[in-house]
Amino acid sequence: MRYKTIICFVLIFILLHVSGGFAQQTTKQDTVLELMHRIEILTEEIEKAKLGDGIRSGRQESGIEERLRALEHQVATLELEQTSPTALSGYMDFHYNKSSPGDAILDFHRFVLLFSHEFSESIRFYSELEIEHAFIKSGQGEVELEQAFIDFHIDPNLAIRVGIVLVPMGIQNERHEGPAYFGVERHQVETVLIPTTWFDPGVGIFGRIVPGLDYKLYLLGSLDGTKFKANGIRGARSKGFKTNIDNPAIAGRLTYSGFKDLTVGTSLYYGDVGHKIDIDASITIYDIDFAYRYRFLELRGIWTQTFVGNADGLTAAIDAKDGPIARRMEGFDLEVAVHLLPQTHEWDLALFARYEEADTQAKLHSGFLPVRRFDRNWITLGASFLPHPDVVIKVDYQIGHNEDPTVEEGNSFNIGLGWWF
Amino acid sequence: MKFLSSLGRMGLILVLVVFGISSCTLTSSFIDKLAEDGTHIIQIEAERFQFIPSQIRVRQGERVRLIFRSRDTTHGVAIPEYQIRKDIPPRGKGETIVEFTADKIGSFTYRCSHLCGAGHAMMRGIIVVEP
Ligand SMILES: [Cu+2]
Repeated sequence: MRYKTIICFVLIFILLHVSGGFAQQTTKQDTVLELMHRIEILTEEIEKAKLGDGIRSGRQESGIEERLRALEHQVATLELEQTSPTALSGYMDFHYNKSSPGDAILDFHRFVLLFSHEFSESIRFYSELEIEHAFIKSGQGEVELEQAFIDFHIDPNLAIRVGIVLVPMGIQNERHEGPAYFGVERHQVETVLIPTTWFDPGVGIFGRIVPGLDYKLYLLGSLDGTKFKANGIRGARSKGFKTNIDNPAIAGRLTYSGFKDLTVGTSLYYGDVGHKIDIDASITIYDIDFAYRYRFLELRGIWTQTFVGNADGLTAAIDAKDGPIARRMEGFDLEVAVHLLPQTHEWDLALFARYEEADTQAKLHSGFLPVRRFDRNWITLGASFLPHPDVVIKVDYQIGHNEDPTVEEGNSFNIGLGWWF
Repeated sequence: MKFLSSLGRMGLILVLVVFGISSCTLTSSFIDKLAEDGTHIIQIEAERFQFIPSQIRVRQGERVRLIFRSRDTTHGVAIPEYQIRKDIPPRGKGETIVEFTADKIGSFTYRCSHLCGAGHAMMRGIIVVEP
């Protein structure tokens, strides 16, 4: 089965590359170069005419300018034609992880292909297909269809989205390719509390309310409360597999990017989670986040809380073994990074430090005691080097701390190679 | 832990407020000016997955020149209203200039036209053409 999957991937890859009009592109590129060359000659002629002793009349000059415009238009049209409506991209993450205590591992963590197709300017398809950990067998590795949706653009302020979508929560869930974040592994808070990568089938709208203020509002398949655990809700994601839609969840996000270098966002998720076992239970998750970049400095942070309605009922109904399901879970992270090269340089080198806390046992119903080993924090120090804007080499050291004195959270040393095309 | 939690909460709010205020004052560093020949020049930066600024205003009849520069990977700019579609080279590899005459009043989309990542479909901006 896994061979078939890989063969399919390779075939799709080859087909798209061949059918993308690759053969034609060379000749078109030559034409564009030729036209650009002619534009340069004409521009020089104009400059000479302007500097010259007036031998050329103004009329001649405007004639040249007209020819120049026409040529520019030709180039623009050719560039427009060159773009195929179907596009292929991808990103990959290859990691070395050495945790102490523990053995060192090499992990081809992600192999992701993205396909998009533009039916028209207002109807566009987009998808993301991922193989995790290279080898798929029951209980290890995964093939995931993380995104597969069609957007219908009604006007600049409103669009409808249908399909499998990323749940619009936090920063990283919708911005999750290697070169886009610091650190070899994704952030703990946005893994433990906001279960990145979190996707579900659904339908929604998105657009803009006022300048800079964008919204998303989706109706999605619900989380499965029977999979909630003392250490969080990560296992409760349906991942698009025959998702229950009788009790849809609602997810919304607002982002404000009206400031030059600062983006602030907030998200809210609410859903019924007791449908499988016919009890009344719900989940509410919210977050507040920001990302800031000014010259060499980059800051980002997130604060999130999760509330489980009828957590004690759920705990009793599913016979939770590793501890009770909390009424409240919470955490935050703060990250500061300094870029050592200017933003206009092709390379990038940055140092970063991050502090994170995640507690999935923040508040329990009376009569229950919190399981303290699920209250943890991490300090991560590291560097990212990008020898090309789409290739990143990452190194970091993560120091974990567990609030349960009998549990050693452990530290880890990680090296990552990530790329995007 | 409790202490760190409240410290974190307070820190986050403080950081938001400080940068909110400082960014308001920094907004003026956008390049948005009129050239000698009257062309309205606006510089727009592209990064995963937004345009900065994501909304621009021009006047009807103006010749508009948009200068796009990427902060990271290859992006693209499509402005269907003016039949513009061009790639924006990655960081450090130059800029993309598009020009058009804002002949119609209304709001028009500019969007990323080069598949640039998981959030590519969200990368959009609005051109408002005022009378
Ligand atoms: Cu883009």
